[in-house]
Amino acid sequence: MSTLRVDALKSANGNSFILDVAQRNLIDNGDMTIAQRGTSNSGITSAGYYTVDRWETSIGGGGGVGTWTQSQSTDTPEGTANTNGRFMHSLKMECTTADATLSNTESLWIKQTIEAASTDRYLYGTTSAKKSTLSFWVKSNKTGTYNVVWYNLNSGRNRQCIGRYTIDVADTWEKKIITIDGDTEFDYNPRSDPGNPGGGRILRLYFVLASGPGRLNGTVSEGEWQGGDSLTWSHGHTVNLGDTIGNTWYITGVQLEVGENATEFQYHSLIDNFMQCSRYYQRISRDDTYASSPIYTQGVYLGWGQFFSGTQAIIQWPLVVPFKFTPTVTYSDATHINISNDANFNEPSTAIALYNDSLHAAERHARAPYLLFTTVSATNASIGRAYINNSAGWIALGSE
Amino acid sequence: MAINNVITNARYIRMTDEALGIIDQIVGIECVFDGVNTTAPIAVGNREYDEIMQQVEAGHITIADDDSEGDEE
Repeated sequence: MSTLRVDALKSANGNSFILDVAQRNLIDNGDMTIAQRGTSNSGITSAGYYTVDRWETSIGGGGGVGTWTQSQSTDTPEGTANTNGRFMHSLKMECTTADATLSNTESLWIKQTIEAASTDRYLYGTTSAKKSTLSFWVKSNKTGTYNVVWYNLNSGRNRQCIGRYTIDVADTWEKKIITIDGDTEFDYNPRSDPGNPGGGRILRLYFVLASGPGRLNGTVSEGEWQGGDSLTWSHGHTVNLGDTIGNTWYITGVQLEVGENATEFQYHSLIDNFMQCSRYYQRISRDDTYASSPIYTQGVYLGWGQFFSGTQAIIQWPLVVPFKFTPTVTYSDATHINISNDANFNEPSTAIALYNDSLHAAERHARAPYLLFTTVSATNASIGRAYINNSAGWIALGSE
Repeated sequence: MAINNVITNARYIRMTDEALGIIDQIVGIECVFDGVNTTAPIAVGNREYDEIMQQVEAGHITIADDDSEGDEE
């Protein structure tokens, strides 16, 4: 037996080999596998998170850009897209109401926000700032030039860098690679928000799909950092994906890494992928798969807590991983959640919020969230539980 | 101001916890946010809270002050 002793192992990008093996891709859910909110959502006309986790749809500027259906598609690059594995899902945008003539700043983007704590490796704001490389697979019936925007939200000193790619052949999966310089002037300011344990919402990556003339201003050079100005984001972008009903755009295999080489997509296990997404969104739905189980007649339990004030109860959320920031509560309907303490009290809630006393700072909300349920009168100080009583019921906490 | 999200039926949610000396404190804003039942925390930096307050400041929406719940014994 022999022993290999080395001082350091470097990846093709010159980074720590160990770090690149473990955490090369700064994008969450780049293979579009996790979709806690659902696999399809139609009638989209405004900004929000609709299907695959971590990917936000932005529709803005006056009248918006038509109407869209977003789905987690099984249309993916086939065969040898990667030697490491294959893609099972993609994010699909499909135009269902067209807007052929965009005005002013009307725009459509797909974006992901990356926490500052994940960007320390870039060394931005120093003379050693590192390049970054974005790679992804994309397909659309609309050929042309598309913009991608790196946007650094930096406490009033916003910075941006524009990259571009071209879809050359309609309805064909193509792999695109964009490398940009490091920003030697400004860091991602990762410690700017002491109230936010995750380090703030700092780097955003925008995939531009449509843009009105109000965002075509200025002179923008590819791959160069400059002062942030969203009115220039689409300079050089030529496609209005919303100009015709039925237009489609698919993307998967999104990877953002430090260095100037695009390495093969870093697959995560399903649970690792899910845990990363759970930092920003955690959802419990009633799943009637086991409806025949005797215990299931009581619904799906969320957690336990205590009644107080005669009409309210606090129930601890079954945390998967800490949230980035104080989360928002969303739910199918407040009455889909029952509150009970014993056989004598079992009523639907009338309102749901995050429990919030003066001692419950943002970090505590993120690390130990309690839900506040309002219901009809119940005995103070009795132990209570919350459960989903409706087959269509669900509740979620989100901190995107 | 461009409206990024459609927000309706906004109202404050309050809580009372006498053991902690909390009386009728606002803890969130309940609304329908892009068609989804939502309660945003009172927390600057929270995406939904920030959007609600932007629309309030722009005069697009108002928030009802519902004090009928949470303080009854």
